Amino acid sequence: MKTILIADDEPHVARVLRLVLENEGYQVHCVENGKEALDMYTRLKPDVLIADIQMPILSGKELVNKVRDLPGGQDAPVIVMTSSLENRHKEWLSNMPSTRFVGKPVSPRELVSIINGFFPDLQSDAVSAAC
Amino acid sequence: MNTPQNSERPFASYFRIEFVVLAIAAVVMLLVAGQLVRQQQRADHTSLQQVGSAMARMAGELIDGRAPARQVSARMQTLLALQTGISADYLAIVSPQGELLQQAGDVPREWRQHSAAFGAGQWFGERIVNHAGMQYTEFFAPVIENGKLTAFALAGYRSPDSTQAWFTPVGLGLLVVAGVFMAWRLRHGNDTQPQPVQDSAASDIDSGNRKHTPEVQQADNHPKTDNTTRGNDSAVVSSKLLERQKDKLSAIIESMPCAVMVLDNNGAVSYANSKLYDLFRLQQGTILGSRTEQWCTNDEVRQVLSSAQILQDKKCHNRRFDVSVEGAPVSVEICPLSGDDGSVMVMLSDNDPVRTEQAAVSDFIAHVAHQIKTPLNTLYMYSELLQSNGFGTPEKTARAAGVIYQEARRMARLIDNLLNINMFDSGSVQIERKKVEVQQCIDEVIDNIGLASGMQRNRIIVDAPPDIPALMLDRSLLVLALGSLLENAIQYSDEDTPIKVSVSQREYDVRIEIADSGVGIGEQDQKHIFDMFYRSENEQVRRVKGNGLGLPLARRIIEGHGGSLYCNSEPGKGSTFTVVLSKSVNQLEGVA
Repeated sequence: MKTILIADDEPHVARVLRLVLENEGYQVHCVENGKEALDMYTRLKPDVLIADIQMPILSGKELVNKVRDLPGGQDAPVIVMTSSLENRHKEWLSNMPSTRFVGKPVSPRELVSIINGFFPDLQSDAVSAAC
Repeated sequence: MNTPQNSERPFASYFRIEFVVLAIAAVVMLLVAGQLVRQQQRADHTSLQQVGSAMARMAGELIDGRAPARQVSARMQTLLALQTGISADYLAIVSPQGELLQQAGDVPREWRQHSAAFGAGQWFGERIVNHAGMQYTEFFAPVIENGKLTAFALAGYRSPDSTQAWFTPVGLGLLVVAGVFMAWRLRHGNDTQPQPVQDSAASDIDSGNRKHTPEVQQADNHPKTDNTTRGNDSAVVSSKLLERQKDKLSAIIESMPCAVMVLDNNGAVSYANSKLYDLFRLQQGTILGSRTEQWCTNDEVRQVLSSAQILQDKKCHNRRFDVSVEGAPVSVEICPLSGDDGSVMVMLSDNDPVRTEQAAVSDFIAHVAHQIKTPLNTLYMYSELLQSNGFGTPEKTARAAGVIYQEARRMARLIDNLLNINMFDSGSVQIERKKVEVQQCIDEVIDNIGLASGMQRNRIIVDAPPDIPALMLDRSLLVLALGSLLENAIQYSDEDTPIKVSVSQREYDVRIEIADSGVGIGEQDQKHIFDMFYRSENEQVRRVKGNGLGLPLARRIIEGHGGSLYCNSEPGKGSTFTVVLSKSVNQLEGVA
C-alpha cells in the first residue's frame, strides 16, 4: 500500500484529503506543521508528500528543500498547495524535480488524479467511484 | 512768423558767457552719448553672442543622419518660429568647404557666392559677412554625426547699421541743447533781443509745431533706427529671460528630492545634481563626461546603468530597479529623454513614500486574499465531495455540512472585521452613543458566543459591582470589541479553565478585564498582537483558527471611544486584556 503524508495546518483540508485518498486505497498520515512533517517523513519515507506552502514553524518550501536533501528524497514525488503562486514560488518550483503545484482552492478530484499519475501501475476502480 | 525786431543788433553781442557754457555742455553731452552708444553696442553684442551661439548649437543638434533633408529643413523652420527676443534671420547647414546644404529663413540671395570655407580646427565661433550692402553676424557650430564632423550649422543675424545707432542719442542731445537754449532765451528776453530764426523756432515749439527739428523727426521716424533700438531692448530682455529660465530649471532639478543625472548616448554623465554627488559621496562636478564604470564603484548601480544603455537602443519606456547604496535601499528610475540624441535621465531616490504605500497596499491585498482563500478552499473541497456523495455515510455528510457552515461563518466574520476596520481607518465610522450598562453589554457578548460555539455559560465568571455607572457608548461596537476579546480568551485556553470578566471603576475611568489561564503571549508577540493579520508562530497559538483582525478591530473600537486597550500576559499562564473607558468622555453627565 502506498503511503501519503499530508502537511497542512488547516485540519479540515487534511481531513477531507485523508478521506478521499483513503477511499483510493492509500495509507494517509496527517501533520499540522513543517517540522512535524519533516520528522514524520524521515521516519515513514512516504511515497508522496502533500504540503501546504504556508505552515507554522517550518514552511512548505523549507520542508520540501529539506526533503530534497534527505537520502532518496531528491526525486520523491511532492505536491505543493498554495493560495498564491508568486514569481519566487514559480521559479523555485520550476527548478525542483518531481514537484507539482496545486493552486487553492484545491480540487480533491484533481489531486487524486495527480497522485494516481505518480503510480501508473496501480489501477484503482475507486477513482471513478469516488469522483 | 514774427517780424524781426532790433535787426541791427550785432551778432557778436550774443556771444555772452552763457552761450559759451551752453555750447560746451552740448559738446560734453555728445561725447557722453557717444560713450553710451559704444557701451550699449558692446552689451548688445554679448547678448547676441550668447543667443546666436546657442541657436547655432541647437540647429546643429537637429541634424540626424537618419532624418530626410525635408524633415531637417522643417525642424529648422520650427526652430526659427519658436524664437523670442533676439531672433536669427536665417539658419543654414553648410559643408566644411562652405557649400550650402540646408537653409531656413531669410537667407540673402548672394549668400552662396560669398560663403567661405571654415577655418580648420575652429568648430565654434562667429564671423561677419556682407551681402548686398547688409552686414550679417553668423554664428556657427559643428554638426557631429557618428563622432565625425560632417557640417556646420549657421545662425545669421542682420547687424544694425552702426551709424544709425548714433541718430537717437545725437538727435536727443541736440533737442535738449535747443530746448535749454530757448528756455534761457525766453527767461532773458528783456536783456537780449531774440534772433529772428531762434524766435521763430521758439514760437513754433511753443505752438507744438516741430517741423524745424528735422534731425529729431528723422531719428523718431527712421525705420532702421527704430528697429535697432527695439532690437537692442528685446535682445537684453530675451537674454535675461534665457538666463532666468536656465537658472530656474537648474533650481528645479537641484531641489528635486532625489538624485538626478543625465547620461548621453555614450553612457557618459552630461548632467548631475548635487544630491547625486552626495549619494555616492563624490566631489561636486567630478563625474561630468565620465562613463559609469569610470566613476561608479557600486556593482548593482553599474549593472542597472548598463541596462540604461539597452534602454536607449530599444527606446523603451521608463523602467524601475531596486538597488542598495551604502547599505540603504534606493530605487532607480530610468527615463529616456524625448528627442533623438538617445539621452536618458536617471533618478535615484532613497525614500519613496508612494512606493512604500503601494507595498503596504499590496501586502494588505495579499493578506486578505490568503485569509479569504483559506476558508474558501475548505468550502470548495467539501462541496465538491458532497456533490459526488464522497463522504459515504449520512453522519459524515452531516458533519461535512457542519464544516461548510462553520467555514462560511468564518469567512463572513473576516469580511465583517475588514469592513469595520476600514470604517475606522477611513474615518467614516459613526459612533452612536447611547446609555449603556456595561454589565448588560457583557451578558449580551456571552450569550452571542455561547449560541455560536456551544460553550458552557458557567465557564465565564463575571464580577461586576452594581455601582458601576452607565456610560454613553455605541453598544453594538462595544459588543463587537468585547466579543473579540472574549472569543480570544476562550480559544486560547483549555475548556476546563475559567475565564474571568471583571468590571471596576476608579476616579476617572471604568475598567473591564478579561482574564484567561491559557497559552499566554510571548514578549515578542505582545508587541504585534494589535497589528493587522499578525499571527504568532507559536504552535499552540497556530492551532487556533484566527484571521489576525479581532484584536486590531477591538483596539480601534475602544480607542474610538476615547479609551485604551492593553494586554498583560505570561506564556503558559494566561493573558489579561484590559479595556479602560474614561468617565469624562463617556459618562452620562446631564444626559437623561
